[in-house]
Amino acid sequence: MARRLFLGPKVRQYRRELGLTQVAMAKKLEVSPSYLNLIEHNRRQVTPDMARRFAEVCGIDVELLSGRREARLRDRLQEVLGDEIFVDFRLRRVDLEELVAREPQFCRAVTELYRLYRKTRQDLRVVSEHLADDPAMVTASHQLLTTLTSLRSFAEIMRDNADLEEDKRAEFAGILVEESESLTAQVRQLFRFIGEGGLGPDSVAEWPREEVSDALQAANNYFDEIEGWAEALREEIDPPDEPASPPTLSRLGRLHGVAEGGRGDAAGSLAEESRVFALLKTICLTRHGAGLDDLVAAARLSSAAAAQLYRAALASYFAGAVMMPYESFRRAARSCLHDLEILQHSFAVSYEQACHRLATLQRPGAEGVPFHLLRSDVAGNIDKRFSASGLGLPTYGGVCPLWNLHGAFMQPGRIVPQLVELPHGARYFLIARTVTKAKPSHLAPERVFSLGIGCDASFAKQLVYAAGIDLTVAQPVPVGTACCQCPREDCRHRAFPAAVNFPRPGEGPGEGPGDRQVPVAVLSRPTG
Amino acid sequence: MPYSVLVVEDEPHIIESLSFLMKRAGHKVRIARDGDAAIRTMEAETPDLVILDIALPRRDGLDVCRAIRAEARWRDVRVIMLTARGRELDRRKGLETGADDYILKPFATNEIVQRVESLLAQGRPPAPAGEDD
Repeated sequence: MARRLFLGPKVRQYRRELGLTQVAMAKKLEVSPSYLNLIEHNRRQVTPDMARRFAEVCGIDVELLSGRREARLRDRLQEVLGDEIFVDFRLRRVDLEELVAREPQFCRAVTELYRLYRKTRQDLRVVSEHLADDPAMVTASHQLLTTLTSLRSFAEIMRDNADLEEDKRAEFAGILVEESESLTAQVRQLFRFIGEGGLGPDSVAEWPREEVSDALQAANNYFDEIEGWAEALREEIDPPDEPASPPTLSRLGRLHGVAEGGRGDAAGSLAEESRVFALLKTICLTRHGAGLDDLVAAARLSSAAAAQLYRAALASYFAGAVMMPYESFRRAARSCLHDLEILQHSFAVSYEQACHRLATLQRPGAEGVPFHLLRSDVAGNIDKRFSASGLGLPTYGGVCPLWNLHGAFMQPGRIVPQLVELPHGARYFLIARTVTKAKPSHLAPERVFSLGIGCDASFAKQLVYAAGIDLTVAQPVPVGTACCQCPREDCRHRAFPAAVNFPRPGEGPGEGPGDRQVPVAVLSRPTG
Repeated sequence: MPYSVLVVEDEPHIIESLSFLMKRAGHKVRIARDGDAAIRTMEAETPDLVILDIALPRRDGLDVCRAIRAEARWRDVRVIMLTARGRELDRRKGLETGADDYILKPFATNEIVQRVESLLAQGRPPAPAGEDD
């Protein structure tokens, strides 16, 4: 978890934004200017106390200094560069960290460009099946590949020629920006073409989901405004004599006059918690339409399909927040050591609903254990992913086959715990369980998913699932995130070659188990 | 002694990157922006190697390659075809016209430099100074 590389340049950036010299800032922080200078050059670690003082002086949220956003960006960039089109890039992990620390906006632009490229490539594949010989498509693909050639050439030239003259570097950077804009225009044009060409929105439905996952991640999967709506509704429906009882269908229906279900018999076959959940979603959509519009607009999604999906995700968030009120759920989770079965019974919710709620407990100042969550189908397709735990979850490819997310399918319905170690020494405690969706009829194929949640291993003692495991001596399973990002050359489970050049132990900073950084990560520990 | 490389391409940014790469590798670079210009440039001065885009205005790269191979004086000129099309049919067509190598866009800059170097190493030694000027 080499987050320290991200901090120095940030500290310097915020100081400069305030127009303060190192001497002036050092005085405010009550440290020596030379010590501040060392921090700004990543030669000293930022302690949690120093980070808090610094955040106070700058009037910023201390979370901005945690390095978590940058770590996610690094992981995303590493995954992007793992693509076969960059097979010759062979960037080292430590190079990426430096790049992210120095040029975060540029790195975001690259990942966004890659997302657009993937989206385009995916759509091209679909389109090619329909319109293989359409001249407009041939031209579009030629233009895209030409633009990509230019982008790639200049990116590689800038990488390989450290001695480039300043004016050449500026000229080439200008071309990169120009070509990126051109790529965006081409992609837009392509989408217009697809839209007019009779290809339905279904053909590109896979991508809005990725965009929604990213938007939830950007919000840290916590929405204070929606929590407020949920609390207000609970105050209306909780009878004064039994304030803690879960909302029931009859109480909700009576209160809001919203027609339950609307789905005919299918809704009737759902479990009570699913019907309550569906009704609450409807209440959210009808009562808070304008509020949802604002939240959706703020996320600046690129398509109507993504906006619709995001809106539905926010309505689900509301339903979860009503059924599991933040503070009482957080307290209950802590006191029962996150025993999901106890939480299910106490709040009358499903296993999946409880897992989802655990992954939202990131209210600033009242955080729960930071969990990640992901859901996979039997073919390994990930359709839900969110990470507050710091664990990098692959966006585009399959997850490491050693994760219990896959193994859970071999023990349906049972919670499977697992202690894992990532190649760079970070340890996580994971639990996974399959969930089976209700079938509309006997002949319909069953929909089974594996739902995985997990947290940094330092939180594992707060989980009932780690009871009996001595975490100081337990042997973790050596895993990666995805094969293309994994340096374990001798792994017998490898499905694809690694595409990023990983340094040998001791070759650079930020690598190897001895390098785990704790100080700033501690800031996100649960309070209270 | 520098080799002489002719870049035949109509996209200005790709011309710029290929010129930069070839000059960095120590070669003399000339540019032609369409198929006709390529032949005219070669008539004025025979290059050691041609990097030839397939999709060109006026006269496409496949046609230019055929014309090069039809001339005895250009027998030793090495030709690398460059294209954004990836179908096997295109590749076969490119090599059947007599190209020595075939590179797909988007190419890796290291790869194109290496392929150029390896083709030049197989061919005749660089022309003596003065002959090309």
